[in-house]
Amino acid sequence: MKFQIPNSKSQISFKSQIPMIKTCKFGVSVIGIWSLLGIWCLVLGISSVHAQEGNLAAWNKLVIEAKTSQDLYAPLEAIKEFYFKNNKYSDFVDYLKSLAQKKKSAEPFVNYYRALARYQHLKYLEEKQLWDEYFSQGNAYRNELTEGCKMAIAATTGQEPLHIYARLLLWQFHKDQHDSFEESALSDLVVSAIEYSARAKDFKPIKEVADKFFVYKEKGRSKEFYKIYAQKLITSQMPDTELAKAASKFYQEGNLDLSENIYDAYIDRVSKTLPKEELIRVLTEIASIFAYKDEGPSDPFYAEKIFKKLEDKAGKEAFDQEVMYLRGFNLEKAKEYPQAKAVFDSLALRFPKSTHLDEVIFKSGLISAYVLRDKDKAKEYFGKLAQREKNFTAQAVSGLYQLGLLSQWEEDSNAARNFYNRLLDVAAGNFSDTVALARERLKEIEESKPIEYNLKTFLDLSLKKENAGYDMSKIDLRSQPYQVKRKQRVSVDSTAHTAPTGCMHIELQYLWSGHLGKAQTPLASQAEFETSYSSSGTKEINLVVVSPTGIIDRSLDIVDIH
Amino acid sequence: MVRSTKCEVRSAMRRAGRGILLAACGLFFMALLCGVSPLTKQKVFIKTLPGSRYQLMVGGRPYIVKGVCYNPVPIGKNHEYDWWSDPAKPWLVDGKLMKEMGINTVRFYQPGQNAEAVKKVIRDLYERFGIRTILGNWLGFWEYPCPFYADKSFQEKIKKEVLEMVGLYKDEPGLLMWILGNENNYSCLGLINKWSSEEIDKEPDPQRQKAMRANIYYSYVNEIAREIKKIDPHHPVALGNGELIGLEFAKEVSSDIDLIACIIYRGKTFGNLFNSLKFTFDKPVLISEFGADAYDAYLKKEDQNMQAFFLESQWRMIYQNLADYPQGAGNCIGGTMFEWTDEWWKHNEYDPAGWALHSEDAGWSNSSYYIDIRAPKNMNMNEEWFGLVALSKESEDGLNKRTLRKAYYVLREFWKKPVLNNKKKKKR
Amino acid sequence: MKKLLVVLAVLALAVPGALAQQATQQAATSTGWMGDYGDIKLNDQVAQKPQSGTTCMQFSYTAKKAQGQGWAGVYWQNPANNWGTKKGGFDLTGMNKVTFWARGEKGGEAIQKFMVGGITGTYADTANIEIGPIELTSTWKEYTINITGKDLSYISGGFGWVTTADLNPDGCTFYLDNIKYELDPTMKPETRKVESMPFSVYSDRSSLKNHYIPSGWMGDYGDIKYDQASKENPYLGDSCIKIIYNGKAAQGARWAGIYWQNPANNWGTQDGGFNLSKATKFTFWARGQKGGERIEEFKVGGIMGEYSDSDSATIGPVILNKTWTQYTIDLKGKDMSYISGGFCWATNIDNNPEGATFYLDEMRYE
Repeated sequence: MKFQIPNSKSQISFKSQIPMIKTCKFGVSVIGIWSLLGIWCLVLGISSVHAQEGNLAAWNKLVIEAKTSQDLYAPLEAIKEFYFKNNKYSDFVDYLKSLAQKKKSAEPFVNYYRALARYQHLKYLEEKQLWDEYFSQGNAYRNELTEGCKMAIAATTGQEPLHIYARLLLWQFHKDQHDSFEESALSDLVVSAIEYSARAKDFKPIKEVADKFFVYKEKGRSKEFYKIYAQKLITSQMPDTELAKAASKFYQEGNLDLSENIYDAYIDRVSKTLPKEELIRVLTEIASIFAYKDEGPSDPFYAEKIFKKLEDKAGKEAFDQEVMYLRGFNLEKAKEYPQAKAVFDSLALRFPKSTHLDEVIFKSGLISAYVLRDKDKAKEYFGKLAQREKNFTAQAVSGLYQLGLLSQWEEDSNAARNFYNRLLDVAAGNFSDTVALARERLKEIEESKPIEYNLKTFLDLSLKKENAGYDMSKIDLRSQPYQVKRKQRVSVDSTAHTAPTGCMHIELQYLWSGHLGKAQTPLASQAEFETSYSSSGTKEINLVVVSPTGIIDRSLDIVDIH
Repeated sequence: MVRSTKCEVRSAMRRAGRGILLAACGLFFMALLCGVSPLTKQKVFIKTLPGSRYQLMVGGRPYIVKGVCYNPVPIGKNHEYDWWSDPAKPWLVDGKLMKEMGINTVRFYQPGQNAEAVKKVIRDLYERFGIRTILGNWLGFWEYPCPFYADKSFQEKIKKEVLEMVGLYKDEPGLLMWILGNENNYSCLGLINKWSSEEIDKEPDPQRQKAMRANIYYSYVNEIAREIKKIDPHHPVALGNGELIGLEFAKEVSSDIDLIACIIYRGKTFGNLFNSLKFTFDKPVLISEFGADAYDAYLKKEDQNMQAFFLESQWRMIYQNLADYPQGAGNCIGGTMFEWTDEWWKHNEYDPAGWALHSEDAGWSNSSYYIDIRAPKNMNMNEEWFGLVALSKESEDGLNKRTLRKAYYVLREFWKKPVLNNKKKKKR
Repeated sequence: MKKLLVVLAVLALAVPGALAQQATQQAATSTGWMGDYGDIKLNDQVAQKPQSGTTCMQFSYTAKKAQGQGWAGVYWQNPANNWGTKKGGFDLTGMNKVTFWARGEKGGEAIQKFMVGGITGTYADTANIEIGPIELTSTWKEYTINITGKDLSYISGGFGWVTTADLNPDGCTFYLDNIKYELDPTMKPETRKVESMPFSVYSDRSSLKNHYIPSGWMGDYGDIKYDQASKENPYLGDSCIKIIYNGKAAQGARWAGIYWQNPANNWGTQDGGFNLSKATKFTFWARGQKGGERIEEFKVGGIMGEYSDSDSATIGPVILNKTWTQYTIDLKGKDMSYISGGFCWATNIDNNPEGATFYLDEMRYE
């Protein structure tokens, strides 16, 4: 084993170990191995410190030899990182003081970084609850902070990034203190940043300002500066691929607004230059990034916007079955059900052998019945699924259930009975949840009882034309996740939106029905519940929310179990 | 004979020198007797300034009560523990920390059983750390089954206890004042420890009933105050009161008390308290119990910032209503905040197992402590977390190790330089 | 000055989606109908007497309580039907007022409020500003909603109105036109004004002068029934408040009460108090259905939170008479500069084992 460290002056090789092995016979091999490990750690430690210190020396050299202030940014940032990583704030300040002696031209930077060091130092003391130092030195550190910022601001022009950074730090400090200088510091910062952005080439400071506004929940301002930053990126001579990379990075940071802004500009550019095939690929990729997914950020509305663009530019043929399915699923999760249905229909037409076929037909059926109030159309869809003779998928079985249910609701007991019985035949021991529901319905028919109250209320509200006012807009019903494995936990959550009237304390009732999985039907007081599903398929969850003065609305959610 | 003249002169000079020395010693001892030394008893009284402004005077100088309620019950014990006799002497450790912070007063709700031990504590605190003591008495509030304030024999029994206490400690140089009762007035409303009498029960109008109870209680407190002053004219007597409730009755029957000792939990300010008191019963006020806990019941974790925020805000308002702050009511003489250390027995005092655990459960709700009001069922007041000083099971000097919370430092700095024109905005 | 006017004019014209435009487009599909939506009819092509242009909007409200709510309103939403479930808000930063013209068919039509923003939900509006109640005149009048200093970065409920059957027992018909977002450089943020006396909390169900909303139901809220349009022998006017407390401990608290708040449901979490410094007392009339009902506390002020009331004043316990009796809460010496809890009553089972039914009327600060 040879241990090599960057500094060629010291190299340790396997041969030069400490002689412990020779002197200690007992447990020689054990001790030997442990001592080897010890040496290895020691060497790594030393070498890493050495490496860092070696780097530090290198960065310092860069600082000293810097010809322009432009050249100071990078090495000083690196030096700052080094000291901050180990919380050595006072050491950093000492370094800066000595730097000021050696290099007068670095003074504005020295002042800024001193201020930054003290700002971080105070934060560190507060976090660790080291109150002694926090309070005994607090005033002194705060003075250093404000003086440092002011001096850096005075010594720089509005076109230098350092000017912006110093103003930003000063505002942050006053904001944290909630003092009377906060407002003026904010307006100075905003004015400076806008002036800077008008002319400067390095727009990193603008992003920093936007990021900090975002963190401090100054939403309006952060949006403003993200827009400016996006504009800068877009109008810069940055190559297209770099622009796309930047957009992707912002997506990963969770900054969807900014990411979308930049992607829009990127798409504008490449629409003019890329060949069709390549453009299709790019648009598909971007839409996929933003399409609904259970984990990670998404913006279904933006994804659909891109899908639309793709359709405009390249026609429906640009969509293969997976992309089509993704588009439909995205619309479904954005609760744009009619549009989702249109895509599903298209998919079924173009790809009659698709693996998603049964699922999309079934969903089109659900949407027809419960969103568009067109039960005849719904029956067509479910009928297609129920037609087959063998290899019944979960959706086909559910289709039979829905046919039975619709018939039962229409009070055609015979038809209903037939559908349910056929379901029991074809289920063949599987699809236990649908089978259980079918059995319940059959029992109702046998005993001449009405459909279970929650379910009936949902059906009445969803199917009767006179209930068109209940259009699912007043309930937010969501499940997490939507694409689930069997037995995986699913959380179902609802919020009913009632415009405030003020007068009454409203106690709402939640009437749940449909395929609810393992959970018993949740109580009327439960706005949310958890469940899991033991059978695969597409499961519909129905909800009606009732207030003391009447029904608020009804809603539907769809979960896919794989 | 020259030599004999020289001898005479030298001996005359020696005699003169001795005389001067003796005179100097005499003057010194006279000065001591006249109270130049801080160790002699000093008169404590309330000075009235124009415009119904009040100042507490101690030894001829204005005194702002920068105080704390002190009950150093160790982890694993409850309120019955006689910490006064604890060989580890917690007050020696705490007194030093208090002094460094700037605390000049401690409040005891009631002295311990052992008078010698109590005197030792009062003396140690005063002589070593310059900290003065406020002594109180519950006036039988916690007597089982209830305090029979309408009953003469109950009254006499309690009065005797109080006067005994006064007799024992009135000559302590470190004594500052007496407080009678704490939130006993709530019993007049029937909210807690309800008591009554035949006459009261016959009265159909509940508001009249309230008035009758209040009159009985406040007259009784006044009577005790008068008796105290007969034996101790050197220390003010305070009426302990929860909020200002009932003071419109006290105004009529309790003119002999010198000041009100108010218990107030109103979050970051005291609202209109000082002006309202002036209007209702014009007496000086000591905020004898106030503060904030250091546990965020919503986020379920310690929050020293939250406690420091509320306490600093409260002290700022106290200072804004001292006699010498022109824009305020000028009737506040300071406060004793609740409290010095956490007390781990408080949440469930009947469960000995719980005394050794630092309960994170909240015992009551107060929406003016709004930072953690979103806790389940709005229960946000954590009784075991009110200390400026946290305790740990680790031992130091034979005591639970003390860790100073942020509020300790914040108030220390505030007292060094009270900033009263608060430019800070609402939020913490 | 001229320059300023020109700038304003340009801005006014250039403001994208001058909401009248949006309104006329969206009015065709304005789907944010709330409460008794069956009571509302809209005609957005009314050509007679528009305020300007060729058409204006006519709303008819029948007050028939088609959905049993007793109130109704319309929101201009984007996109249609967005109750905070879709991402459709606009960033209106830079605007600081909304102006609109309104008139009533006859004059005297009462609109409870006009609002901007206020949609809650996953994609909630960043601001909620209301004005009202407003009594319309039969001639066109311009109204302004001051939104200076508000966070307008996401507004999906661009404009809205709400009214109630209590305010318009026979329904009402009114017209709207020229709803616009504008920037007025002279407009300053709203400050709290000192209210003049008397300042009414409740006089009649249809009084425009009522303030505070009885939204703060406490304790066993399930034990309470509240009716503010009771015709059972009101003290004055045509209606009074009737409260039925059934003492069944529905939530297990064994006590109950109602706080009148501003805005509704403000438990000290919002800046919504009135400045009532001119008040020297609060008076109200009360009677028990049988006589002997005991109310533990009648209170004004006393809300504590981040925005605490400046003071509180209480009377009680009160044993009600069968006949109307006036009660006074003395406010001398009280700091009434910020009061968001306008009035409160509370009682319990121990003192009302059979529950209590009582009436309130003519509640006011004076």
